[in-house]
Amino acid sequence: MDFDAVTIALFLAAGVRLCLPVALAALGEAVSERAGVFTIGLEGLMLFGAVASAVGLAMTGSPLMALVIGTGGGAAAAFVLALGTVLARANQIVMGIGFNLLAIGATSLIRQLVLTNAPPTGSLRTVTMMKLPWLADLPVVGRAFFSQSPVFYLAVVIAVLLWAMLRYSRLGLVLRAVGENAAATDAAGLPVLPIRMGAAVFTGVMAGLGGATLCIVASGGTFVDNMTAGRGYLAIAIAIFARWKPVRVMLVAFVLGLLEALQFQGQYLGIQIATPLLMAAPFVVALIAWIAIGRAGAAPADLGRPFLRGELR
Amino acid sequence: MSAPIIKCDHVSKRYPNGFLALENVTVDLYPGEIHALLGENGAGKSTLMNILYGVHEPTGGGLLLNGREVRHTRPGDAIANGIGMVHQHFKLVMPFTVAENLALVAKGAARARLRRHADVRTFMAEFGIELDPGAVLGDLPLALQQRVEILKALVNESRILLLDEPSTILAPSEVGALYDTLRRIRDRGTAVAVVTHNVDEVLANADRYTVLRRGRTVGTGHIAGADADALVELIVGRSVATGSRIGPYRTGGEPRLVLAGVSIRPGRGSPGLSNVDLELRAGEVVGVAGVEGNGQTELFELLAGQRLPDQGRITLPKAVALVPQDRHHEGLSLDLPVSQNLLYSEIMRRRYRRAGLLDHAAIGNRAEAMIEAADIRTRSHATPARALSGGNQQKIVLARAMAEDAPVIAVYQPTRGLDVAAAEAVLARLAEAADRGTTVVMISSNIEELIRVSDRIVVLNGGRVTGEVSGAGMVIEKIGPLMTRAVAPGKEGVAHG
Amino acid sequence: MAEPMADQMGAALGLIRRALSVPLSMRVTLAAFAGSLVIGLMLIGLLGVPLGAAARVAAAGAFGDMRAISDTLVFMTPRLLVALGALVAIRGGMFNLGGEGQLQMGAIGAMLPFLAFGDIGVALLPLAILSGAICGGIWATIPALLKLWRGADEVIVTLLMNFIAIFFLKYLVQGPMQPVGSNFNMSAQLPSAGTLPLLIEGTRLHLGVVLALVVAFGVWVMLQHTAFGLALRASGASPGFVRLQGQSAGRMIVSSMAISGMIGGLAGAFEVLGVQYRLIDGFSAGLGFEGLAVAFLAGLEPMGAVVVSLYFGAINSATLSLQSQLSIPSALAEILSGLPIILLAVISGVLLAKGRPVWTSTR
Repeated sequence: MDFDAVTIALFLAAGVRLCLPVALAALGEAVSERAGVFTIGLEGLMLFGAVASAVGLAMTGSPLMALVIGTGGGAAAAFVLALGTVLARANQIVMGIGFNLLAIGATSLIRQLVLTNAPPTGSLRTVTMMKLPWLADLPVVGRAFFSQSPVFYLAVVIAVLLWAMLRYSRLGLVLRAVGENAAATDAAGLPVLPIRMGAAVFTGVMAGLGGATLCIVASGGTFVDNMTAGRGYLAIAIAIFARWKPVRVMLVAFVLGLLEALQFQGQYLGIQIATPLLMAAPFVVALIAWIAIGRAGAAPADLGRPFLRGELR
Repeated sequence: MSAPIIKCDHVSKRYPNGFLALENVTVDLYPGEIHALLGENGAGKSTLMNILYGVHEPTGGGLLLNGREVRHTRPGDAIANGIGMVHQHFKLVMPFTVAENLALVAKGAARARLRRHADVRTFMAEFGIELDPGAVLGDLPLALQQRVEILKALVNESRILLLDEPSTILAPSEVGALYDTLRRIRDRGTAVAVVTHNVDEVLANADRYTVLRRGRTVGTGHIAGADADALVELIVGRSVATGSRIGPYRTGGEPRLVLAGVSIRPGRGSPGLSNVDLELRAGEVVGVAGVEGNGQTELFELLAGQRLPDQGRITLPKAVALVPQDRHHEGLSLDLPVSQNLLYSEIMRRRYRRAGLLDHAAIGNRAEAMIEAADIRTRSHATPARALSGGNQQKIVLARAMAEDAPVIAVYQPTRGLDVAAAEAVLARLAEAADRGTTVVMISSNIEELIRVSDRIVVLNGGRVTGEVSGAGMVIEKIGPLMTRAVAPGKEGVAHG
Repeated sequence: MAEPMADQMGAALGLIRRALSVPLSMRVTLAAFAGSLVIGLMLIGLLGVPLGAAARVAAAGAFGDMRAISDTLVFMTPRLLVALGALVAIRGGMFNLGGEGQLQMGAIGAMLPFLAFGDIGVALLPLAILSGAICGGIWATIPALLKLWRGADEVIVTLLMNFIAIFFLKYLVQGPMQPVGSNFNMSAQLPSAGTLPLLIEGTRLHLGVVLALVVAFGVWVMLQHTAFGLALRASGASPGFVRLQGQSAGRMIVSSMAISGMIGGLAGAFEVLGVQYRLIDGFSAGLGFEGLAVAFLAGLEPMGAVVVSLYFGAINSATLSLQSQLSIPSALAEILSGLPIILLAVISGVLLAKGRPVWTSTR
């Protein structure tokens, strides 16, 4: 078994590329779950982001604008979803399942009505590849981590910022308090519902960017029906497995991306495990981790509970 | 003491359901005093607290802050006016650290003051409290969690501190430390109002007191010169005028249920039980008196076989019929029809089946008979229990328990929320059961009805049995002190009449 | 003058109220469906298709002839079964989101007897059905046990286990179950003795459709007419009540999940035995979640689930016709499936906030 630096670098780079859309969405999910909102509709939010970016690309011709528009599409969809789950106190799980069904149909309809089948013209290189000066020339890691889509660098920055926000800022404290004990936060005179709305919309921003990245960066700008294919649910699992910690979300997503990359590059690396088993591995690991944590109050205590002052019994 | 910092001025509160919780109540809180609000359950103490803290609005009278009229329509208003509240069920974020919990409520200047852990330590030291600011709340014992709840109420420079039954969750030895803290707070010029039912605790620690009974102020004054017996009488009233004895006094037969040295660790909002001895005999009604939250829930759970004692022994008969306190969640399954609620236990004992399926006709017939016998007012036996009035719901629970023919029946607050007629019916059924030889245990905070129906009454206070009275000795003058005086371990009063 | 007016008004209002005296949950559901159909019609109108023509084509596509009806029923079947499974679990107090995974395991289970014993004739079909149900049941029992043993929240466990099942099936059809020399992600075909017989020649109507209706009836009997069903409903709706009655909530959790998973497993088994005749990667495409939506729209009632899943089946076959004859995108099917459940959830949430719960997660 001999493999050279180039093979390894390409393998790592593929892992990064494959994990990116899911990682972005999972960062968003981590934030809304920290605030007590279980966004099962993440899959649908990604789809809306993806189709919005495809429309944006068709309209503006600029891949960068496409990403921005996709992000906006995800945020707008998340706002609508949160009107139901946060303000109207709809059951978050039931609402999310309906939303995902609707999203598959609605995005497909948008594709058929707005988008032509012609593949997008023009180069997407501005968003697919950005070599960081000096760093990109480092052996192995240069090609693996510093010759990536600018969205990847953005994701890393966002993850670090989120980490700092949750850990050190007042906003983070309040956000976590809303998820752990909404009633106590309310008793402290803080606005529970606006905070949850904000967190839910932020989730839409990240899921929208994730969907847009999937469409523009990873799929050449073409929207395909149901192109997320379960990545939204996967992102939810990652957020939970990473215990809602942003930096860990990135790492878990990356490991997942590597497992996915194995199916393409495993043969060069001399690895003979059946691909689907590799794909299932993260879920098995997540499940074992979840069981190991047990009933120790691991998840935010008010996760999934609509807030109502005076608490119905 | 110059002028009151806040005055509840002729406050009345009538709830939407018509219940008059407070009637023309006036209480002054002065800066630099510990003011005890005394009273039984339902006396209106909590309502008064909630009006001060903006949870409820008064329907008559108002609040005067430094002589100026103020309205508190939500807790935010009260906080802004310098009022802090220590809830009986803490409003704390358990996975957060001490410092984080304090930071969460801190506003403006206070937030800047609590930035670093060292600052938090300094802040806590002002009140003589030493805690690790980095400690996670959920890991702290109840008494220390309570300190954090107190600190939280003080973070924004509160001038008025309200505490709702702070001593019930504490072991007797911890109460002193609580008041040490409260005295330091008082000495900074804060008005401290403490809701409690414990007379000795008040005599030892408070500066002034106000006693509420049935929504009215029945006495107020300085502790110096106050007399324990007089206070007890103010709290529980003198003679019981309402209602006469139901049936003769019975003498119990053979023992059916025995608790020997039973203890249960304190939990959230409760002292648990310590070293309880109790013997329940055939054909008697044993009343368990006490202010709520003094171990009654634990006792009922023991009788229900839902938990085991942490120490000691309990000998249960093979079946105990139960009438729980929480009708809506434990007594009934509200969406099931009346008939299935009535016959649930029998159906589960493999009755009313035909070819393996439920015999709905037989269930309906039997239910009709029970509805008739127990005088349950319902449109039909198929109506969901949810649709019935509270009194009729309770009759279902009671009828089911009676039908079980168990040697022991345990009832917990059986008349709460019922009108007079419904309550009378419940008491009469319990007396009949004892006449038939059943052992009836009745846990209640309503002393009058306990006296009317019990053959003997044991008093729970702070998780201990503080005494027992029986026969003609069951008078409020004897029970009141057992409920409201400090618990002296090993010196349990026993009065026989 | 004013008083008789008020009296009349009152009487009229009373009449209207009596006329509308269907249960609140029913009214909410009808409102949700009406709302989504209106939105669907608006969409069709926006596409520039005359509504009359669209309605005719849709009706013909769903119920026009034997073929259309049988398509509708075949689309209905897996959704109905998953819904039945979901509602048994939810009424027992477990929020089972694992319909998708239990369906996958049921499909795998349906293949096992053939792979183990080969073509053994008439015994193969009942064995396949049984094996599918058992595999689904075992798969669903795992989250119940984990909840009891470790307190692991079933929502997350079932969600994770869906993916494990999906990838496991993918693995099987790419590896152990893939016929030698084949490059397709599917297993070998079942012999005709091992499949669900077609009921009407020239249609896709298979025996599984009838069996699914029988299961629906059976679930109704179980819930309403057996002591077990009574205990199951009581323990889901009022765990405190059941505990005080001395019953074990844990046993109810395990048995309701086992039954739930067996029914979900049947959904997958019938797809294999009645529609695909082999195990194919990706055959389900979200059926599990659609079934869950059906369960909630049906107010967690088995007979309601028959009606709602029939609606879902009709929507699916109608949109196929709309697409082929009027070029209306078939995406309409998902939109019309997703909308009612969203509307229902929102209306229920608002009513809950006003203190009038329509249903709760466990009722």
